[in-house]
Amino acid sequence: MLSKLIGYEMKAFGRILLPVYAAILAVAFILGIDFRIFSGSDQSAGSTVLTLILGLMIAAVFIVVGLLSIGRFYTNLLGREGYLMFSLPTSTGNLIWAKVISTVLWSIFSTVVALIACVIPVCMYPGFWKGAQEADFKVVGAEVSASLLKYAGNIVVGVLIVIAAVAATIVCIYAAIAIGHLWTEHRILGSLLAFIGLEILNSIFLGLAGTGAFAVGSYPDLNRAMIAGGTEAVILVLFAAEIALYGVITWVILDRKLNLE
Amino acid sequence: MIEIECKDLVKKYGRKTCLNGINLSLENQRIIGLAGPNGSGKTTLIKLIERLLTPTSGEITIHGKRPGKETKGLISYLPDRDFLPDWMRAGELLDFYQTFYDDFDRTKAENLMRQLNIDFSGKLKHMSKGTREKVQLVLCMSRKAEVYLLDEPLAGVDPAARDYIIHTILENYNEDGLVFISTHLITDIEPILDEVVFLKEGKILLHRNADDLRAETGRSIDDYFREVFAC
Repeated sequence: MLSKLIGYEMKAFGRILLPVYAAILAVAFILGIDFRIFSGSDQSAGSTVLTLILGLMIAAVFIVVGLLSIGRFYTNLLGREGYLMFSLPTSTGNLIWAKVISTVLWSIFSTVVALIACVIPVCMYPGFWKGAQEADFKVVGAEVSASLLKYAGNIVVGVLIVIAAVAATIVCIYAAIAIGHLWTEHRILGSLLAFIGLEILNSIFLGLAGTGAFAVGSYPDLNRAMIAGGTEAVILVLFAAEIALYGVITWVILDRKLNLE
Repeated sequence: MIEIECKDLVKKYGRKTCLNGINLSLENQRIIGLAGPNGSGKTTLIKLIERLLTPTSGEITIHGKRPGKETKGLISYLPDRDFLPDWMRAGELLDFYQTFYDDFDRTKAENLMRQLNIDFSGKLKHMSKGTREKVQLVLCMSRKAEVYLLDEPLAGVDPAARDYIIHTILENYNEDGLVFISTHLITDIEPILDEVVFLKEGKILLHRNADDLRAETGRSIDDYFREVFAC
């Protein structure tokens, strides 16, 4: 049932985000053409404007993902669509997780699209391929592979930390909205106040993370790799704790205190 | 067999008591009307059964189980408001129901929608209020559910639409199940009712067999309703 709900959420997000992705890639492509046409001369004002637009669109897509996630939680579960969603033969946990997982997935997709959008104009720059033709691909490939293998663990942990941070932020916002929903009136105000309260709690979490990282770092017998690994582990555990805590708050309110108007 | 049972059910909003000590047993193979004036607690009771509200105290069981994931699979619920996602198309909504409800009869739903001349590729947000209400009814009645919870399906619709709604309910409900239908428009549904429950100020005023009530009072249920709830 969770996979079905995620599929539904992906579709709901996709109808807005896919056209935005298409627009970003189109602007990146146009910027690439602009680079190609004006590569020999001084850069045109057009390329400056296009670069600015591309940067703003990339920034905007992440904001859109966040706003969509919040909007869908509020309208799809606590608004009139909640009559449909809470009538489904599935658990409240599944309803919440489907939204969190979808948000994380669309954040990843947005990051990939942003990276592609940055690479497209660079690849279309005539000098890039000229340089590439002169480069020894075997040597470059070997160096890149060696670096990836060497730092594979760090890359995976880094990605996990970013995913955990996104999930923790989203669940925190969901918890704040759910707490606001306990109010009989002024629910949005209640949600905002709850969010401020939870952010204070977050800062305590971060303080703990800093203390933990400092404690790991100050241990005399550890080498740099062990210190880095220990710090990452502390951060991951704290994000997991945040997700669990805010997830439980959201679940308890939506499952045990639900009062859909 | 008892489909729905409420024991000492209480629902309060702050200091206001909406339902006060409801004790009710509803059996299957019945069409039962839930009647009462506005604000008597009809919608609250139905939403508690569907678990869209949390009771202040008391207990509800559906098919012997507490409201939750399993009971939601047994209940086909028609709320008193529009719950359709605007961004979906009618066909996508059918896909949605087919995906989530094992007892959803897509062929039946498609036939009913064709009768209403609904375009499957049409966006729900472009449909009129009346059409959207009919779509909701079609979705609800295209399930072979144990319990049909219909909250004010006749409210705010013209007499012709009322006929369509009653006809659709009668033609499509699972006869082994229970239809629990709330309304304050008794006249329209009186002929189809097996039992009637009167709700007044959050309490059960009566729960009788429809024929028995008519025989006892010597009046139609509608006339009796008007007398009991006269302002």
